[in-house]
Amino acid sequence: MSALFSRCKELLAFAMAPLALSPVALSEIDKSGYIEAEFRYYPSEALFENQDRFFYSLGIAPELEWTSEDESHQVTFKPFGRFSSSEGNRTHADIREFYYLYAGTGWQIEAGINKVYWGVAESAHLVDVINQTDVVEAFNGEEKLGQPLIGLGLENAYGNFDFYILPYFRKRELTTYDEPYLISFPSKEEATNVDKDKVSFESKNNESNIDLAARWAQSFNDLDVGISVFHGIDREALLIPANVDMGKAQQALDDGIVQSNAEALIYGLDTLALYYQNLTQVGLELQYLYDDLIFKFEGTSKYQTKGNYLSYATGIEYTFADVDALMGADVGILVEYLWNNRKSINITEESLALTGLPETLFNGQQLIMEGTLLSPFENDVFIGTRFNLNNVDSTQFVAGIIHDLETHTQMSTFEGSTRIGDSVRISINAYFLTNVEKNSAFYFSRRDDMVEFKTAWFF
Amino acid sequence: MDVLKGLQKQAFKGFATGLLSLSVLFSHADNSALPGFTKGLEIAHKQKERDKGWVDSQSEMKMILRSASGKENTRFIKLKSLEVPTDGDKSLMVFEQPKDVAGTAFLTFSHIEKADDQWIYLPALKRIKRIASKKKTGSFMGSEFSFEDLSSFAVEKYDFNYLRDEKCGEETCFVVESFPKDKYSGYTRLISWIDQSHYRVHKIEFYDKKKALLKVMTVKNYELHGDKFWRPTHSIMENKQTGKATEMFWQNMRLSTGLKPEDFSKNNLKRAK
Repeated sequence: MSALFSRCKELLAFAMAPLALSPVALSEIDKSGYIEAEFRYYPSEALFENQDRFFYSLGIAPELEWTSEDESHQVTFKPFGRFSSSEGNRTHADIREFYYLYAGTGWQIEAGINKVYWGVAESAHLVDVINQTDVVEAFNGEEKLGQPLIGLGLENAYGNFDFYILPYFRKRELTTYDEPYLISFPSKEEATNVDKDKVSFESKNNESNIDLAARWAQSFNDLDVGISVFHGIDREALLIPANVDMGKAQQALDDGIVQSNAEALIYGLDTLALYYQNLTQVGLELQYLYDDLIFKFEGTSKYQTKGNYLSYATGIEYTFADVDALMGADVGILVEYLWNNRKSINITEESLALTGLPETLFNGQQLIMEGTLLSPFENDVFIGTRFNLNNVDSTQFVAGIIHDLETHTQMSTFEGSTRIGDSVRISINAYFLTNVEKNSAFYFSRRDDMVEFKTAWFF
Repeated sequence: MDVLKGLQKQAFKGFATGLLSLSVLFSHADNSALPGFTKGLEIAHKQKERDKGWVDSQSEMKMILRSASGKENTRFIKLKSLEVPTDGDKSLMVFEQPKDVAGTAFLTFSHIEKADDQWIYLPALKRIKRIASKKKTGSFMGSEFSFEDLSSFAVEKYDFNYLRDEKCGEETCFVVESFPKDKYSGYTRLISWIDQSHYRVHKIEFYDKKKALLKVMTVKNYELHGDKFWRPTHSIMENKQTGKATEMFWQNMRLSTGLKPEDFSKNNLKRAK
């Protein structure tokens, strides 16, 4: 640990070398962060045979921060690493933040790797588009990969204006090998591997594409408004067939397991690849405060070659503060509705390009991905509650359920944590799927209920 | 939510000579005719006038939470406040300890006429959230101070009732009752001991909704800043119903440091230190 720290120090010292030449008073470097032990347990019997049910891991997130005395210059370095007992890719590392920021009066610039959060809803993060989601790290979508960026922020009477140039695209990593959340296709019995080296882009620049983003936010008394635009590579990827075991496909056809060539190809599917479309997105955020009630809306209009669609999440948060019957706890009630109109997508062309198979094999049949599989929260209701005990140990928990009004699939979440002493925090998180029928986007995750225990020591 | 200002301005929560029973029986307008009320209000305004012009303040606060059995927990908080002459003050608090919430920041715009605006910044998500709650009676970080205790004080928020003069240490204090007008307040009344030489708060008793004594706050070690402004370095809040207590220590108090309204913007929470 100390070796890692001294290395971080060197890096930070290197990053700040140009600053040291400027007439800026140097102040102390703040060192903080945490080390976390994690235990994950999947209570249901695994769907695929190479999946395990118990995993141990260690997470490390040091944080070095330097701020000039007048607080106008700031350098932050926040690497992250996880070492897992999983043989898959959960052992991973990332630079979450490593940036320089200069703040003037009413404006600021930043350059480096950072995280930007947009949005107001609790059950979905639709507008939030700058950072790639770290799916490997957390299931709830709240962990993000560090995004290389150059940002300019202006703040004046007309609101907050933020402009970002995003010069490098971060790919989404998916859990592989022995951990749950593997992917398969209907009509296949075993898990299909995602070939992480086989990635394809609609953009000719691949991950070197320069993405652009901007947001305007303004408050009108109790109404907060945010309008954002993004033009670049979609952070979400399409999963498309990348490699087919032709012998297996032929066998399935010969044995009469499948009827058509297209079905046989899916049956013989060996690996999947991620295909990233280009995206132009317009986002809207609204938040209105009325006494102890907050009304929230966030929605996007996405423009893509394979079809445009609208999404939104809207609802309320009501807070019962300092409830006597609960020893002074704050209790929040959350209700949100999620909707989108994403259509089915034809992935034949991209799949053929990747597999190198001749079009004649498909015999005019098409590979179609259903919209509800791509964006499953198309007609769902979220109900949740947030407890904040307001005690010495800052005990808090959030519990919620998303119910799909069409497939009736339910996704339940519990996230609770409390402090022990002054610098240790323990948490229990649980994610459960119920009523998962064949038509659900979560069909191949139906046994992936998970409980995790974490103990983090903060320094 | 300038803690210091909150304490300092508790000094205004008094100065009326009417009786409690009268202030309950009579309407607001009738109360104002009572000599005690008139005197209290007069002193409150004079006191407010005395504390005008501090412009902004910066300090660090150590808070020790003590359970009934004597178990202690420590918090460190950085505080910045901005005086807003026509409304309540603006304040920014950044937590440094406990370390698991380090970097979490609270921004409060206090208001005289309406409920305070409040935002919290969660550094792990880099998310700024608006807090919707008119009720500020909940515990602040598990301490015996509530958000209400820390809120910016305005004379308009209370009715006053001067009780008597009483010796307080080497000083002579006004002993004054004050009655929160806000129906969301956690108190039915406060009794404050305010010295007559500089109008500094020495003690406040807080009475709960059942009119029982809930908490007693003692304020100590006043220091003079800029030849005009008295700020304490130590205060103790004791809960008389649970036996718990919280001590606050202020360090490095600086006034008129040149903070700007931009330093208290919502967007600025993300780089608040």
